[in-house]
Amino acid sequence: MRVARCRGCRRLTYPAHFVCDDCGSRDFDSLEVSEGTLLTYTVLHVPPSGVVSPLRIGIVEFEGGVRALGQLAEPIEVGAKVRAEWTVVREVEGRRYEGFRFRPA
Amino acid sequence: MRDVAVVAYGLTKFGKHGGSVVDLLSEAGYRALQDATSSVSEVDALLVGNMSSGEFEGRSGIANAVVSELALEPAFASKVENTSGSGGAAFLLGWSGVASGFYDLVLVMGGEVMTVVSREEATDIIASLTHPVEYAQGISLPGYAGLMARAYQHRYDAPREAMAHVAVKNHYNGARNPNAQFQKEITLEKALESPMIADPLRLYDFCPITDGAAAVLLCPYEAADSYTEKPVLVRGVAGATDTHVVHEREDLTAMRAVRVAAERAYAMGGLGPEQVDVAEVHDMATILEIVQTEELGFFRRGEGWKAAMEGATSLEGLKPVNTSGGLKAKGHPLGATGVAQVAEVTAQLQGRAGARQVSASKGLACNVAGFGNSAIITLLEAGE
Ligand SMILES: [Zn+2]
Repeated sequence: MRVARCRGCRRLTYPAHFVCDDCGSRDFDSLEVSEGTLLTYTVLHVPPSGVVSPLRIGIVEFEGGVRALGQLAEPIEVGAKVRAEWTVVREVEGRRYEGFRFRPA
Repeated sequence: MRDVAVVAYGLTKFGKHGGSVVDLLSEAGYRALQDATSSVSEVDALLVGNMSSGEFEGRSGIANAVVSELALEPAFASKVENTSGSGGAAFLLGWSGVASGFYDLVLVMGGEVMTVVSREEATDIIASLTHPVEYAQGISLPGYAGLMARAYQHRYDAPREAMAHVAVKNHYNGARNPNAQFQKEITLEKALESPMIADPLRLYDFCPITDGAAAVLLCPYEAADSYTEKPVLVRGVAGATDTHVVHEREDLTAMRAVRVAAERAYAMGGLGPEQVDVAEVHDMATILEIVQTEELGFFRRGEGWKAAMEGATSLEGLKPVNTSGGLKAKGHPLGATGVAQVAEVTAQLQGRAGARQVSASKGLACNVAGFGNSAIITLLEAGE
């Protein structure tokens, strides 16, 4: 999966911002990330429509410090290594939302 | 800049009213005008904090509608939208109007009608404030609170019970507030056994869905005795904004917008956190009260949970927090909250808080927009 990398200062962000938070550049390329560490998670027992219930959501930090919020495919503990995939994570009235889903590495 | 005073306040009862927010705002505004010692039939401006009247009840133009209901034409009026911080934002703008000399009398209001939709629909309307890449995952405000609670427990080795103590304390205070939605005490066991919502947080860790409105009247401090015998001076007011994307926050157990806005307000008022006698904070979830009491400087980072367990924030404690019952028990009609917080601190400083009265000469209100996306801090002091 890819995150944004500022061509001005090399800062990594997900998602890309209108301008870079650090240097103000608007010039980004992207970088592949795959493995990271689970920082925290929650389990939503009354999730919104279009997702599995209960819904596991966590925040993962990848190499370079860039983070992403995504769904957990199965129970994972804080501090565990995870692998990220990019997939359809929510479907509401025919509209599909894509995003990260994490599995144990 | 001129010194500004809060000279009157009015609130509706918080709870399930239905109808339109225009009616609740009119009621709260009318009570605030009645609260002034001299008859007020005109104001320069009326600012209305409200998040989603369009989404909840299909209404726009609510500020002008309230002017008309209260026969305050031709006062200027406008809605101020900053999600759950709309009331605080309206207060900050009302203050700046009076402080600058542009206005002499401003009615600051906030209100929301939410119970006309289901809890699920309300949660989704609120979730529209999140960044699209996070919204796509099915996240909600309770979900962010669950993420923060687990990160906080993990980092500081805080027990689950600490958060339940916040709920028990705020229900105790709410039982002493006739305007609160929940006027019923709860036990620690009941909080800990309530249904799981956003693991590790349960139903009793969260504020309810609420209808309600609040209003305060602002004027130059030097003119305050025309309206009250107990003016309350605005010592400081400031706002700050953090990253929109929550996973990009520099610390998942902190709220930078609260910390920065508080630093600005303290600097403006020439005060420190140790001088604050009473505070209303934005406990949309119990963990947020704990984290905010740290970011406001009442307790060190990682120690707010101990203060909650030891009773330091109770009515009898060294630093009473959420004497109104907070969002947890008083209720959280989004746009009303920031104004209702100022009204509660004003009531405490004027000695009008009844069964929940504490001894206080200085107070603080902390209104948070979104999940710490922005914050507005107000410092108030009992006048001469
Ligand atoms: Zn850059």
